[in-house]
Order: sequence, then C-alpha cells, then structure tokens
Amino acid sequence: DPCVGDELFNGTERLARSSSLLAMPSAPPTPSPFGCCHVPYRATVQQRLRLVQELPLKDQIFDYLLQVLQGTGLLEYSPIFYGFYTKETIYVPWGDTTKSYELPLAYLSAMLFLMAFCLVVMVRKAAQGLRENLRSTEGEFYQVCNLIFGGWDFCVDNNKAARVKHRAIYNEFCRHLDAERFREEKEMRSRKERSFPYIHLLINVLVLGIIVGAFVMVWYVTTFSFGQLRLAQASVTAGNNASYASALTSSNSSREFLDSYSEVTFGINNSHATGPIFVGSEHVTFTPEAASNAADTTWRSVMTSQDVVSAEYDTAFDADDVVYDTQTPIDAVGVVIVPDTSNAVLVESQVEFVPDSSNAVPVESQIEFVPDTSSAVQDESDQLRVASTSGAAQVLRSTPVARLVTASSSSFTPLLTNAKTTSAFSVDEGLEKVSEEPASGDDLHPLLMLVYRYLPSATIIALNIFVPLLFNQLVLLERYSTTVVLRLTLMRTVVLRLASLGVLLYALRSFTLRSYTVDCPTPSLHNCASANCKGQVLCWETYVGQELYKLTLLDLAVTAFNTFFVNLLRKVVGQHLLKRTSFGQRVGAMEFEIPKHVLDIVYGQTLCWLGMFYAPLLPLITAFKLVLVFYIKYFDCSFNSRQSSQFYRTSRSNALFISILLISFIVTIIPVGYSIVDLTPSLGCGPFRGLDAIWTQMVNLISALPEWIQSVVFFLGTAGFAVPTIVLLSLAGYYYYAVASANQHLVLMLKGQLVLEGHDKQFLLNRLDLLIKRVNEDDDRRRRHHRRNSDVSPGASNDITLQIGASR
Amino acid sequence: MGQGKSQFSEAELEDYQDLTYFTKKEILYAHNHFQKLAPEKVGHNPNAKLPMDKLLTLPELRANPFADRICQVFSSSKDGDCTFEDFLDMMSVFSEAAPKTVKTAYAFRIYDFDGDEYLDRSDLTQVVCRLIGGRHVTEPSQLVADLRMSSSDVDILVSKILEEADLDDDGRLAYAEFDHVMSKAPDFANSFLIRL
Repeated sequence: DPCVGDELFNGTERLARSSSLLAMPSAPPTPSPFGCCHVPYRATVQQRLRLVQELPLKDQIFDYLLQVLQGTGLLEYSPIFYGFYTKETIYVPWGDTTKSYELPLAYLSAMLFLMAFCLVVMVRKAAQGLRENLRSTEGEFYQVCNLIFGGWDFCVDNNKAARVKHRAIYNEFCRHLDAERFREEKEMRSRKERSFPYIHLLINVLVLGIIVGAFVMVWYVTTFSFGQLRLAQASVTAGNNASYASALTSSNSSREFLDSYSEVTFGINNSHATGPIFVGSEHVTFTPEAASNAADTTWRSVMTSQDVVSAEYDTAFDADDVVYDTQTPIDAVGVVIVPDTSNAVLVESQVEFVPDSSNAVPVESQIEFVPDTSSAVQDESDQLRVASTSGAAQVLRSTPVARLVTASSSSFTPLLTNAKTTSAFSVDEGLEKVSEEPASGDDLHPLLMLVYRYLPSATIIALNIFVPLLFNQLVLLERYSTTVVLRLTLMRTVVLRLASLGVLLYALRSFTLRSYTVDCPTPSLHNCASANCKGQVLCWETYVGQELYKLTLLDLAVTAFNTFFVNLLRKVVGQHLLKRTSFGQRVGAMEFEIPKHVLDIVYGQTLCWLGMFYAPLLPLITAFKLVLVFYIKYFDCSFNSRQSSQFYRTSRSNALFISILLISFIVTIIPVGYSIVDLTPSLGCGPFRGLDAIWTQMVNLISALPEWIQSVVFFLGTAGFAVPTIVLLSLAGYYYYAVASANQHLVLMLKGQLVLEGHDKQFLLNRLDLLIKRVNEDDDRRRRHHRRNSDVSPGASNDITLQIGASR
Repeated sequence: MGQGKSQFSEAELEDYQDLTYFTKKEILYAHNHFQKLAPEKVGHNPNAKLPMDKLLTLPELRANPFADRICQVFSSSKDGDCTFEDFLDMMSVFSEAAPKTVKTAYAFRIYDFDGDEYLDRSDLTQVVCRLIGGRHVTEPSQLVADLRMSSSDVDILVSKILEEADLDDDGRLAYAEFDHVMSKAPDFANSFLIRL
C-alpha cells in the first residue's frame, strides 16, 4: 500500500490524538491512483478504539457493549461491514503464469449471484404454490366438506383433548354459518337498499392517509435524530472549546515602563493571530504609579486544545526613555505556554526583540543576545529555539551583552544619563482554563447517543406494531368476507412495512451523502475530507450497514420483549390472577396468529436482503436471529397462548406468504440496484472507492472482454432488443392466461354436464321403475286372468310387454 | 416378546406383513396392545373375539366420535366384536403407510351409518352431530350446554355439504363424489391417522 508509511501521515496521526476526528491536511498527490483516504478512516476508527482502551475497566465494558449494539468501534472495521473490504488484487501463481483475483469484482459478483439465486428459488416455490392454488381453486369450494370429513384428528386419545377439538370444530361450524348468513344478508341488502357505496373508497383513502402519516413520522424522527447526532459529533470533532486565560503581569516595579506595549501576538498553529493584551481592544498604558502595583490583566481567547500557543510580542523601545549602556542588561522574558496535553509536542517559538523602527531616526544598533543557562539553543539568526515540555513554562532569558548604538545622524538624541532598565513583562505561567463550553463529545451522554441512534429503528417497529391494529379495526367497517379481510389486512400491513423501510433508506441517503455541515466541499481524491468539515461521515456504506444491523437487533429485541414481558404478563394476569373477571378474560385471551408471525419473519428477511450488500455478514447474523426467534415464538405459542379455537388452512396460505416474500424481494432489489448503479462509493473505504459508481467495475470488466462479447452485451442493452422481447413476453403471458381461463370454463361446463347426466340417470331409473311396475302389473293381471280362464292360452301377442311377461 | 412371539409362526408373520401395511415389529406390538385388553382370553386363542365395549377402552378409540362405527366396519361379524385380525386390519388402514385411496374407501364406509352405500342427509346429520358432541350424540336435540346448535343450523350445514359435493344432484353422496372431494382435501391423510 503506497499510502502507509508516509511521513505526513505520521505527523497528522499525532495531532489526531488530541481530537476525535481527524482533520486531514491537504495532502500532496500520492502515488496511489485512488487516493489514500482509506488510511485516515482506518486511523480514525483505531484511534477511537484506543481512546476506549484508556478508560477505566467499568467504562470500557460499557463502551464495548455500546459498540456491539451499534456496530461501531470494534465491529466497524470488521468483516461485518462494507468498510473493511479493500481494493486488492490477489496474485496466485498458477503453473507458469500468475492469475489475478480481483477482490472488488469478486465482491460484486458474489452479491449479484446471491440475489439471482434467491430470486430463482423463490419464483420456483411461488410457481408451485400458484399451481396448487389454481389446480385446487375448487378447494375453496370444499371448505365445509373438508372440515366435516377430514376435520377430526384421529390421533386424539384423551377426553380433554377431545373436548378441545369438539369446541374447535363447533367454532368453525359457527363461522361457516355466520358466513352463510352474511352472504344471504348481503344479497338481500344489495337487492333492497344501496348501502353507503362509497365506504370502500373512503376506507381505502383513510388507509392510504395513515400510511402517508407513518412516512412523515419516520422522516421527521430520522431527521431529528440525525440532527442531534450531528451536533454531538461536530462538537466532539471540533475539539473542546475552552477559554484560556493568561495574565500579563509586570514584576519590576521600579522601572519606567515603556509607554506602550504593542500587541501581543499569539500564534495558533504557527499562523499568527494577534490580539490585544487586555480585554477588549483597549490598550492600557502603564503609568509609573500604576507600575508600582503589579497589574494583573487577563486576556481571553477561544482556542482549541490542539492549538499550540506561542507568544511573540514586540516590544517597543522608546529611544527617548530608554537608555542603554553597554553594561545594563536588558532582561526580557518570554514565556511559551504549551497546552496541557499528555504528549510531548515539539514547538518552536521565537522571541524577537525588535527595536522600534517607527522612530525617524535611523539607528544602527547591534544587539546581541546571549541565552541564559537553560536549555535554549541559539540559531544563526537572532532567534532562540527552545524545546519545552507540556505544562511547563519555559522561561527564556536573553541578556544582551553588548550594545552598541551608534548614531549616524546628528539628530540622534543624546544619551540620557540615567540608566534605566526596561521592565520585565511576563506572561503568566501556564494558561488556565477559565471556562469550557459544554460542547465536548463526552457531555452528550453515551446512553443518550444510543437512544438517538436507535430512534429511527424504534419508530419503525412501533409503527409496525400499532398501525396494523388500527387496520384491523378499520377493515371491520368494510364488511367483507373473512378471507378477503385476511388478505386485505395482510396486503396493507406489507405496504406499511415496506414503505417505512423505504423512507428510512431515503433519509439515510440524503443525510450521509451530503455533508453534515454547510459549505463543505465534495471530497476529492486529494482532499479526503476537508479540514472544516469535521462532521463528515467518511464511509457512508458502513453507516447504512450499521443502520440495518441495528434494525435487525432491535427486531429481535422487540420479539423477545413481546413474548417474555407483554404476553407472559398478559397470561399471568388474564389466566391466573384475574381469571374470573371479564377484563381478565379479554386480556388473557391470546392466540397464536399465524399471519402476523409470518409477516414478522418476512420483515426480517427483507432487512437481510437490504443490508446484504453493505453488511456482508448480515445474513449470518440473521440466521442466528431466526433460530432464536423460532424458539421464542415456540415458547410463545406453547406457553402463552391458549389452544387455538380456529383451524388454519396453512396449506392454502403458503402460496400467499411466498408471494409476499417475492414482492418484498422485488421491492428491496430497487434501492440496492439504484445504489449500485447510481451512487458514488465513498472515498474512504470499501473495495469500490475511486470509481464513479459500483457498476463501473462491471463495465470495466466488460470492456476488457473480447470484441464480440462486448457487442453482444451492448446489443442486449439497446432498445432494439428490449422492445421486441417485451412484446413477445406479453404475448406469451396472454396466451397462457387465455389457455388457463379456457380450461376453467371447460371445467365448469363439464360440471354442468355431470349434473345433466345425473338427471338423465334419474329419468332413466324412473322409466325403468315404471316399466318394471307395469310388467309386474300385467303379470299379475295375466295370472288372475289365467286363473279365471285357465284354458285360454296366452298365444302370440303384439304387445311386447305381454311377450316379456310370457317369456318370464 | 414372550408369549406374543410364540403365538405366531414365522409364516404367519410373513402373511400378515404382506396383507397389511405393517412391519413384523409393528404387528407384534399391535398384538401386545390387543392382548392387554383381555390377557387370558387372547393368550390361549388366536382367534379370540373381543366385545366392542372392551375395544372402546383402547386409548386410540376411546375419544373418537366414530369409534363404534369403526369397530362395526372392521368387524368380520359386522356386530362390532373384533378378533385380532380385524384389529390389525383396522390399525393398518389407519397407519401412515396406507395410501389415500384405501383410507378414503374406509372413511366412506365409516361415515355411511345406515350402510346403503350412499351418504344421505341422515348420515350427514349424524356425522355433524357426532363431530360436535361426541360419540353419543346422534341428533341435534341431544346437543347440550355451550355446544348447542339448532337442527335448522345443522340442516344448513348438511345442505352446504351436499351443495359442495353432490355433483349429480341426487341429494346424496355416492362413493365417486366422496372420493372426488377427498382427493382435493389436503389434510385428510394427516387427520385420518392413528399411531400405535
């Protein structure tokens, strides 16, 4: 990696220790063509970890727990999330040559293959279910028969279970009877009066309104929590805003002060900012009287903790007042203050004594300074460099040993007779922290941060729980039959869940792609994150992956909470404590509703698909979660719920659930596909950094293939291929539909024919009965007749029946 | 296995295995089960016939609303008393290995209370009542307590059955119609199952 080992980065690494988010200096172009922005990202994550390790043990454990819950820290730069994977090519020796294995391409291909595989498996299952459904749509018509002839479970072997079964069957019968009565009522209603015909429209509009309201709520909550997090993060990364105070005192009372003290320059990061000595912009002149008391003044400035303060001050020497002679030492003291950090920082300081050149009199002077015996090092120029350690005030003294002033012009003021020394100014040792703005990251309590991070997910899950209850109540007003009710409610709940997920994703996209702070430039290869944009997320894909990870965990937590606290409590209250009251009955009556639980599982799978691209190990986590969910729901079903008094035709609803799964899959493909094709991957992490879009990886691959494959692939994308294909597919679909409906019609016709056959059979049986009766009558008559006229022989006759009778 | 094994020779076991859907082990287990009802009687005589009320104490049959009818159908003397071979026959039809067609045929005979090879309204009424109330309820008026259903309601149910299943519109279900309905029933094979 050409980026690691760069001196520049070592320096910035050190600076980074005092702040939480690295401000990248504008780095010169590096040899890597994709920029070196991944180095600071990794450094940031590792540095945050190191900060955690410096905490005491109890706080450490708490912090690690938070990390696991949020997917940050230890987990952030791990194979779980997208940010860990790098843009490498692995070279494998293969016989004589080396073959290359490109990791980015492998990543993309693996994801695409997984999605295609899921799609194929689900479509096959759905087709099977659909075929079953179509084949036995008459199964719809055999509900009562199935219930009666196949309803009793012959395995039942004790009376208690038998009683339960009897009750279940009884309830089913009642339900069918109710449905029958409902149907009759509906027919009569439609014949007699047109009940409020717009009720369906109204309810649908209401449902739509509720779903839109849910969107708005999710959007608002997401915006709010991101805003709060941004404030916290920005303040953390901007450093502690603290005020430091320093006092300037004069220590030597017996001297004459210089009449003015020009500005004290405070250097921040070696770029000089100047400020007045005193509060405000007033200069205070030292008067001799006032000089007798040490005047303390304070000077405030807002600085950050990483700033290096150096003091430079110019002193003005008034040639009138000051007399120099060769012997008088000029004491000057300069103090360099170093902020109290725990690491040594090399600091340069300059203390310069410059004669005031505003005097019109040119003065040639030579000043030589000799440092005192402390660890000052003199440079070639008149500059003193001192190495200092933190927290200590370094005192520099320089004593001019010799001073020669020669006047070159006659207007030079003559020397005064009195030797006066200059006064010493000292900047107070050490900077004291006077105040601190409560804008440091530690002040936003980590628990509060956890709450804000989980707020969007929690809102979505709360909506998923409470809005379907509302739907259940609304659908009762519409007075559909029970199967329609079931399907309609299911569809509405699915729409709600998918839509709220969609809103969350859209919000994520808006917030992570834009910088948090205003006026931040777009990161470029050479400027990974600009110094002012400290709130910028360096790796938005990991952030998205973390959001979905949090959603998954929260889903598991809510399921567990629901089972072990809510339902268990309801069971204890309703079935044991308040068993006899009707309130207790209603509270304790829980049944295991299959559609709701299936929807939960479908939702978990949807989250898995959404997060799969940005958190490649999320399917593994989802697998563990599903195992846990199974046991939790098993406990719920067997322990909390009473015996279900409803039969449930699971076989028929299988097709419905598979089709819901398929719909969810198609809906999740859309955002993932859009992000692959259209969004720019972040510069700081991942195997696709530096590309315009992830799909360009594939495009590059295709461009590397031979010419004819390229032309084929391009042809597939053109309209000349797409339009005829669509037309052909539609025709094929319509053909199969026509055949299916013709077959159904045939079935109906054949059923009618069967009925007619039955009538024919009845008719023929009646005729045969009639015939036999007549033959018997004739037979009897003949016998009576024969007895009366015993000598008359029957003889031949034209009457056939008589012949038959005779032959018998 | 003790006495049970000495009861049957190898050839007999082979025969039983061929004629039923059981393996040898299951046959011996069934015999054990049967023998526990009246050990002295069955122990000596392989063709011992047990009366119906003894059979109705079997755990598999005691809670079943159609138990008496089952015994009648499988009994070789048609009066409900079964020998071991009748019992074996019964259990074999109800086992998992029996195909759906066999089960359907026997189910038809069980539900046909008057034995006229048609399921007419009276048969169906009795089926419904027994399903709700248990073995001893043969009429809607005998339904009591919270499982009460008026006879008009039962009539509605029976009419619904006939409406759904009676294809030739003669007011009763022949075996062909019953078979047609059961072929569409997904759960029939699972519910018409007794595990020994």
